[in-house]
Amino acid sequence: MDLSLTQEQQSFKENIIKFARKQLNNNLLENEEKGSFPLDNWKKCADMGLLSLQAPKEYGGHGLDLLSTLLSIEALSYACRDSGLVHAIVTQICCIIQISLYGSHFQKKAYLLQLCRGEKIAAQAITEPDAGSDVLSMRTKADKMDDLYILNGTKTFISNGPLADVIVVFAVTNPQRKRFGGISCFIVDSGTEGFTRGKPLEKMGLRTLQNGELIFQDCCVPRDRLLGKEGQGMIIFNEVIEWERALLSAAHVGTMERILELCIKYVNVRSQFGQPIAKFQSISNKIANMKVNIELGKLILYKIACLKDQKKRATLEASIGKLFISESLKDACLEAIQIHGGYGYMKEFQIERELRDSIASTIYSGTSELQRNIISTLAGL
Amino acid sequence: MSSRELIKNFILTEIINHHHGMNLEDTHSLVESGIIDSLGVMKLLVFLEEKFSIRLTDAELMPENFDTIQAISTLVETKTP
Repeated sequence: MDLSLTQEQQSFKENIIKFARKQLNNNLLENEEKGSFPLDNWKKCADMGLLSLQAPKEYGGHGLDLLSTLLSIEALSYACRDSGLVHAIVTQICCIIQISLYGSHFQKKAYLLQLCRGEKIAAQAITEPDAGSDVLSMRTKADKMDDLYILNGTKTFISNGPLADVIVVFAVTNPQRKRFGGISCFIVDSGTEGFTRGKPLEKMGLRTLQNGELIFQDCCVPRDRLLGKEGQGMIIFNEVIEWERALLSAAHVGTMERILELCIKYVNVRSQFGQPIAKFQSISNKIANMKVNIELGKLILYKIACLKDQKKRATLEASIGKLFISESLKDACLEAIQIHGGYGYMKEFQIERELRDSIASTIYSGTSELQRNIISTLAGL
Repeated sequence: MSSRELIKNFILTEIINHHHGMNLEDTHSLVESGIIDSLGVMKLLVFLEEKFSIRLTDAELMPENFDTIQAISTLVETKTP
């Protein structure tokens, strides 16, 4: 089994790192403080081709395999310290994947090119105020009437929501079959009458990521905006969530690599009791743990990529990866603060921001508790 | 064992779990009775694809194809030579 990267993959990674380091870390503190989305950096990422990695070539994308996409996101997150921006990019890629996999030719033609170019921002609307982990208990309805579906309901905690031009929304089309077969997926344009974007929610971390409520009130969506088939919503969700968990986990691995590098640099220089603190086992053990988690995280990620690129299911692996990597990220950030001592606690060093950003990682895309539930069920319980 | 029997056995032992000699008819609606939910479908999919060496396309992943043991085994039989 050869786990080494191809020359092309290595070059692509290096180019993204160079680009991100040079172009994406400007105004970070100011944007973070204000909770502003860096639209200029979004456009730079679009121009660099980072939004279009997965989209088919005939619709403006690079048509990359998942492994190359994961490596790209890993590289981006390693070099770009704005985790909110990276999360927004992953959200866009996931919506592009959904439309690529399940969209009609009309839908692909209507949306993919502009999404790939970053000219339109996409959001995926699933979670509701009373439907988080139990996402299939959602209440947003889509009633069929002639050539329309009329959507009514509220979605919350929607990444990119306050800015979204294109919304992939899940709604109930058959309340009797909610658990399987009763949910459908629609593409809604932000200008559609009956659709409102709520103001951005203020968060403890990922502050540049715009996250908010989306409200549908007698929102009439043409029938040709049904994504996939009626009742296929759960299947679409289950498929795309595997990609989302893999992509977000790749971002987390990149972040962990950056944090590890920062910690190694610090512990080799910082001296106490007459020697670098790197010489103390209590410190070197923390570094070792971080390194172990990064390498194991990469292995599960690459396995997921291998399975998906062979058109196989990776439900169990995606949950394992998401659980392990997100928990490792939170641990790494906490340890990074501990390693840096008082300096780690100060805003000026920006390590506390990494921790604040990492807290949501064990919540979004399925909480750690839910991942354990999935893993134990698929393991045979 | 026929594909129908393998599928029925899997549903009884791995999805329902505590079936205690439950008599599951081939035409019993698995969806409406709540036997199959979202996680159950994923578990079943993985089983079907591995056990019968088939790949189910997204077009085939429709509720009507998974509603009864009969429907599932018909789907599998169309995919296997």
